[in-house]
Amino acid sequence: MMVCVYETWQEARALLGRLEYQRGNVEAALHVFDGIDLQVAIQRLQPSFSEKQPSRKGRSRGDSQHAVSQHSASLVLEAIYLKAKSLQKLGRLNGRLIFQ
Amino acid sequence: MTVGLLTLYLWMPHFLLNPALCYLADAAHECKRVLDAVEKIFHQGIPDVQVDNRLQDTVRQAVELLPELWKQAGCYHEAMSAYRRALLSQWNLDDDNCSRIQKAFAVFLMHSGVEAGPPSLAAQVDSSYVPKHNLEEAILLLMILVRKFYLGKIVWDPSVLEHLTFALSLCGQTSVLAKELEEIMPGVFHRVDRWNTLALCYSAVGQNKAALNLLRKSLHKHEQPDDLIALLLAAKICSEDSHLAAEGVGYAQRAITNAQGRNEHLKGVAIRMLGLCSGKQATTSPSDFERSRLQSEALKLLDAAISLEKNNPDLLFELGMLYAEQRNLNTALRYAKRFIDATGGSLLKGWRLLAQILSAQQRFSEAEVVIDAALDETAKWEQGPLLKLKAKLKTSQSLPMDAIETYRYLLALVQAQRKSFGPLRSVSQVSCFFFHTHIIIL
Repeated sequence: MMVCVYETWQEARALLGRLEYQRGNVEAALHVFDGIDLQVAIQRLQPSFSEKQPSRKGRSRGDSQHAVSQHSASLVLEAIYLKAKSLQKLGRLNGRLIFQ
Repeated sequence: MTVGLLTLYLWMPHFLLNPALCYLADAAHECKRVLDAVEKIFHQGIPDVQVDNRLQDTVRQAVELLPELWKQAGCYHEAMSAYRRALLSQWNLDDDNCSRIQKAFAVFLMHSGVEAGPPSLAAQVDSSYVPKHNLEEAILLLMILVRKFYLGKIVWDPSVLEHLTFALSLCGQTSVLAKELEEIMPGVFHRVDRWNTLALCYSAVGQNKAALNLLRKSLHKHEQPDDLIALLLAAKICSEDSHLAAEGVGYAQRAITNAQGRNEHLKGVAIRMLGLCSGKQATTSPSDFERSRLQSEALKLLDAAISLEKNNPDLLFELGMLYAEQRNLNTALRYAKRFIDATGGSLLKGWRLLAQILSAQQRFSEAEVVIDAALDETAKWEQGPLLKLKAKLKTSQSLPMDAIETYRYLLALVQAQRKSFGPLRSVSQVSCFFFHTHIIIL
């Protein structure tokens, strides 16, 4: 239960950060992204992929579970990617200020 | 204290001093975390089917972004390994994605100034070829990109060919470049541009006849008869062959009329080519009157050219040669000396010209001093022509024994050369042997 709540909270952060990034509020986006824990997402996703390979039966339940955690992981990974993009923008902005 | 601070400042990593670089380095670390996480989750590369599109898109973007971030942060070695990682690991990249990375990596290899060292990643397959240096790796990448275009996997990007042209010219492999250019499908490249570039490639490897034939096509009146570079190259090729010199005069005259406005700076070159073609034409002219007219014409033109390009060493050499051919030895001597000054004595042909002019003035001992100086400056393998000249000087001074000694030395050199480079190669070997026996008989 606890894990599930934590995951939702992470997803919410990722979505909020993406919104801020798309609006161009780079610093606000960074603020939101800072709280995201990548390690947890990896741990959640890892078993779902390594188990997947051999078993081809029992699609219905396993698949939906798998799809959910994959969705969450992809959100988190995208959030970290956008964090890198935000930092890049910030770096460029600062560079321009220095050289002007 | 101040000294201590200064040392600290000098030794600090550069991104600590500049907040912009600091952000960029952070960005690179974050981006790297994404890739590390992906590698941790998928041990054997990303499977095609199981992954949703969104995740795959993020991975592709991150793979492409990471080397860019390292470059912007000024961390070139990290950028290098990020490129390698992007291309060698299994990220399930699509063709466009992969080609963009390959092109950026090739450009980085050529222009970053960082020596990469061979890729020694575990992902490297045992039997695969390992490039020897940056330039070779860049060329291979660019060739892969050209092939991808032929297979219809990517759209044509003219800059790929420009980079490939630069890289292959840089290492003197213009015959390889010519092959690449010939393979390009019609409709990609204007045919006149292709002919002209091919001509440059062929003339660079000494295939002047092929080059001239291509230039004749591109300078035809229905193509681009006023292209200055093509005209100059055609004139240059013609100036080296007395049978083509008359044709070259025509190209050079057209070049002079076209060297205007934006191309004004090439006027000196055009005039020089006209002078060289006239000088060459003089050597085959049937009448004495015609010959001296052409020769003085050539001299006048080269003098005009040197007033436009005062310190062009090639021009100084050509003037020296032309004056020597006219037997105006004092002036020739002056130009030969100026040529040696301009090149710092680094070119063999300058020393040879100087010695030849001196010996024409019957100043044999001085000529010998020049040859000895040149021998000191020249690597062993290239001493052949100098030794031949020295032996001739000895003969002219009626010192046959010394001449024999020199020929003997030359013969030893030739034989050593033959052992290391293969069978009889040059005329100089035959003539050396001939002179040697000749003098012994005398």
